[in-house]
Amino acid sequence: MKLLLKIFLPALLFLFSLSCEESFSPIGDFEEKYTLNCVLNGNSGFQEATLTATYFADGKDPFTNQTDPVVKDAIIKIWLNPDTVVIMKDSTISDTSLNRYNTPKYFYYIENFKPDFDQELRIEAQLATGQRLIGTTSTPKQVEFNRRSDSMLPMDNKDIVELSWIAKEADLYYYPSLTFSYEKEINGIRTEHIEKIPARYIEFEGKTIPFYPRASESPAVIFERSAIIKVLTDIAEGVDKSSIYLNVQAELEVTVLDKNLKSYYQASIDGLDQFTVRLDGSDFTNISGGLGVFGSYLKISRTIPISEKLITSLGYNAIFN
Amino acid sequence: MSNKTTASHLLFILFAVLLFFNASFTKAQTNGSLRGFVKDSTNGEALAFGNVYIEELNTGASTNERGYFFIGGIPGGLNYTLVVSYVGYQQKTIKNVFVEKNKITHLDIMLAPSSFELQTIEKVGEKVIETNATDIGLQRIAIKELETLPKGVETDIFRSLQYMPGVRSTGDVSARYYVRGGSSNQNLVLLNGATVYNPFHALGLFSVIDPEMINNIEFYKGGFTAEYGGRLSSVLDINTKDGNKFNFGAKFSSSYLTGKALIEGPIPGGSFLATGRVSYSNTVLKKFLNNQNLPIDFYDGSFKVNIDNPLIPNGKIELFGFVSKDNLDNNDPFSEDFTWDNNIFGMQWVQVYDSPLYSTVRIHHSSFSGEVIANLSNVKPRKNDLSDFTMSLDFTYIQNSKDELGLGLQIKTITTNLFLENSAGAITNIEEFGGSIGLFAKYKFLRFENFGIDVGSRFNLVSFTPGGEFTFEPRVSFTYRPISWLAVKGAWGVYLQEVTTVSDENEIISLFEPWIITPDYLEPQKAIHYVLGVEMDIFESLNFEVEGYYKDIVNLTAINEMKEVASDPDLVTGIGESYGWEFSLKYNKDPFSFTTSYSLSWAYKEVEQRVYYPRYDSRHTLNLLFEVNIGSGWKASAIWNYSTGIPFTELTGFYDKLYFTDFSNLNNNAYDYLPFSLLGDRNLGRLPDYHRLDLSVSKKLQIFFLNAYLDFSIINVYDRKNIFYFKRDTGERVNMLPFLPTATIKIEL
Repeated sequence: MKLLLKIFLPALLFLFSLSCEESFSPIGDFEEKYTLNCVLNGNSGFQEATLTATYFADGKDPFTNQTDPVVKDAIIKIWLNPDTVVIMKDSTISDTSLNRYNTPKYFYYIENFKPDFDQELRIEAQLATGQRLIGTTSTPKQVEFNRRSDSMLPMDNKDIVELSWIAKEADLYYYPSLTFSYEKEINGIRTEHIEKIPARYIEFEGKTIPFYPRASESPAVIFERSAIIKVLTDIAEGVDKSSIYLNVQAELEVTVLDKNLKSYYQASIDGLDQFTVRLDGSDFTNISGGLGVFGSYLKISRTIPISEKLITSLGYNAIFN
Repeated sequence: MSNKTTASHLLFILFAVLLFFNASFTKAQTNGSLRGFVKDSTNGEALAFGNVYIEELNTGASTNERGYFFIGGIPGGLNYTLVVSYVGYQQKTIKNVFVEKNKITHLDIMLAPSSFELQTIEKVGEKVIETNATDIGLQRIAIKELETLPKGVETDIFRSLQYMPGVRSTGDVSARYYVRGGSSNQNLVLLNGATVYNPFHALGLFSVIDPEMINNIEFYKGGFTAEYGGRLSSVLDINTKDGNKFNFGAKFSSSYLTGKALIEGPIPGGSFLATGRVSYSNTVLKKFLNNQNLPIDFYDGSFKVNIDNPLIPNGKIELFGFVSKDNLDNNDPFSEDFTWDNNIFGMQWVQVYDSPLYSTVRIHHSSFSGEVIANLSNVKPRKNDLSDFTMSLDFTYIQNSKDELGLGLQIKTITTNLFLENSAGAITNIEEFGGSIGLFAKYKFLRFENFGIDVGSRFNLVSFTPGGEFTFEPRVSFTYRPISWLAVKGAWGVYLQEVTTVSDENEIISLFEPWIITPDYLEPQKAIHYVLGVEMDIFESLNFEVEGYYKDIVNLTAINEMKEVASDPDLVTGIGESYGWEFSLKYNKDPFSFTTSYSLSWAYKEVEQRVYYPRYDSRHTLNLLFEVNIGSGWKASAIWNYSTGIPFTELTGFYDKLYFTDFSNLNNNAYDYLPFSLLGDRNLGRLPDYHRLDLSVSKKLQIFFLNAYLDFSIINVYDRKNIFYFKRDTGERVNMLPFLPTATIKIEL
């Protein structure tokens, strides 16, 4: 036993001496790259782009970096259906609270540039160093509401309302939003309110929580009858029902993301469960020679009448705006 | 070559082998043979890999996984002295065993376990008997060796494998193992011959195989022979216990994590065994996951009923089943839930004939189902179902010359369904059904005491993939022993794999590996193994082995990281290469046992023109295991593992990434810019070296009619801060298991 102690005690002491945490840095050689982001809004003539560089922070926490990595003085052009080209201007917003570096926000923009459905677009940013970042995208092909959708909120004798639309291409991404407006009269003064209709309500830990439709590839959205009735009922909470003037036309708005923007968005939300550990982060770029995204979105909307019978049964006044 | 020509060639080869075999058998008509089963005298359990030795002839045989032995070519009409030995059992000498001429003498032998206090590892005669065994790369673990495995939080076969040279893990947190540079989906896990597709509990922290139900294990690290197919890297062949044939009994045990029970007993003409294990506390799991709560419940259970064949003597029919299930329930509609399970049911008919023929018929169904249920969370749903139905028929014919002929047929059908959405939002929705018919033939040339060779091939007649049909998988394994204490061993073989997983290598903890049949647009994965080694039994108690290996893989499947839309392929192919040297030294002298193993290895992959080290590539690995039988029921062991750092991808900078904060308000620039890490070339960096010391002390107590086993272990005795990974977004370091004392208790009735 003494022999054993003579052999193993020094070995154990040696091992204990190794127990401290080794210093380790996960940082390799810095790689300089540039990021171009430009998301075109098909419902607006004002478009914006940003151009930044990669950076290293002191230590491993990127939030310690205080230097704005914006890249100025680049020439950014956008081509629309090869024959139209525009050059973006640059500007700053002096409100430093808009920028996490607490400096005026520098960006590139163009006015009166409004892409429509089914158009080819190309962006090219030429840096002062001569380096070029290039991206292409196509706006979504035509998307129209499906005439076979349900036509009223809620439908008689149906527990759900299903609203759908038809696209001429696959792999698009949709964000549907159904809202209604009403006026509330207090002391003779009417104020307008807009309320979103949840797809359904969830009971959790003694609370009733609204669940709104999310962005997805599905060209349809379903609302539960009970959710429509509850959200309409709840607006009168604490007030006289006769003071509510409900617009009989609800509005369904669908934001349609093109394929590149969809892939970028999907990658940015990750979608991993809380236990899976990934060593790299999911990322997507369609910018050749750099990082970032060049994509587009458009919105379509339609009105859907709210059942007058329901409005009356709730004790509200119906208005037609 | 046309299909018809290939089939004709195969038939010709089989006919020639049978003709040669029959000729050899006819020559030996004056000899007799001895066969039988070696069993535990207390419960009738088969004792696999034991030794039966004929003293007068200086020859013998080892028992197979069912405790069966066959010694042919014995001069008939004489009495012999048999010496039978087995690990953890008292050696038995049987005098005056009469072997008749031209007949097979059947003798079942019962061995009594050594008393705990005096227990030593007895393998007398082993060196003589196994002189020509073609067993390079094979590790056999017998029933008594299972009892001495390190306990830790939960005794785990898979974790125990990781102490072998050439087998490694990527950390304390996972029981997944990687063999000689192959990925984990290249390991075949068989339970009574049925494939277990996802043999893990609790996100891969533990294996589903409860050691209490195991009789024996054969583990091939490479160069495996023709009876095994379907995987590229390794085979873990697990056979379960039959149950006590003489008395009813029960065992109960408890650890920090699970409670277990086993019941067994005799039935008319046979025996039964049933096991069950259920988790009851998640507290200790937090230690594995950086103190993250893991609300998981799991259980597994098995049964086996075996009876003598009522129709044909010397036959046994076994019915068995195995189920495992995990539920991770967050009890929150806005969080995801998980569920996954394995179910296996099957039967085996093992028959020993009046001629030196031994056959096994197997029919089994194995299924796996795993699902990530998103509920109302943003988590992307995933679902995978697999159903495997297999029928097989194997024959082994042993000549008087000791040569063996093995023939087999396997018919397998697999149905898989997979739904998942990758990070770019591209959907994978696969429903596949495939079937295969495969044959194998092998000839073990064992007639010389100092030389043995196993030559064989698998032939895939009908295959899951078009590229796999009418293909051969030739294999050779040999042993040459120029002097009694030195053996030179080698193996070469071609291996095909036609099912694969759609798993992301960058996920170091993942819920499950979804299985699919290799899509038709890809060729089946193919590996060639080259293995060469030397084994030296320097002294009676000292064994030294060196093995070198080279493994070349083509058509290696990898997830398509560029998949952006549903129509893009899910998988792409690449190539793999691994090679290395493995050394092991075993010293076994009562009351001490010391085992050390060292491996020097390299592994590479090339996918989409990018060459990189896989996550499990470690240059140097050293394992030291010391055990001592203190006496009076006390045992102690110490295990120290060391390995050089595994690869990781370095941070090469950050950039401000655009995130959408509110879809309903996009018009008003509802964006945010947050730092996102930029990674360098894949796996070019190395984490710091890993090392850990575990100590364990166990004590057996006899309390009236009860046997109680207490085990106290300390994991990571010196609290080494072994890094598991660093968080990409903050650079924060996450370590593996800290200093962790654990205890288990087992009661036997």
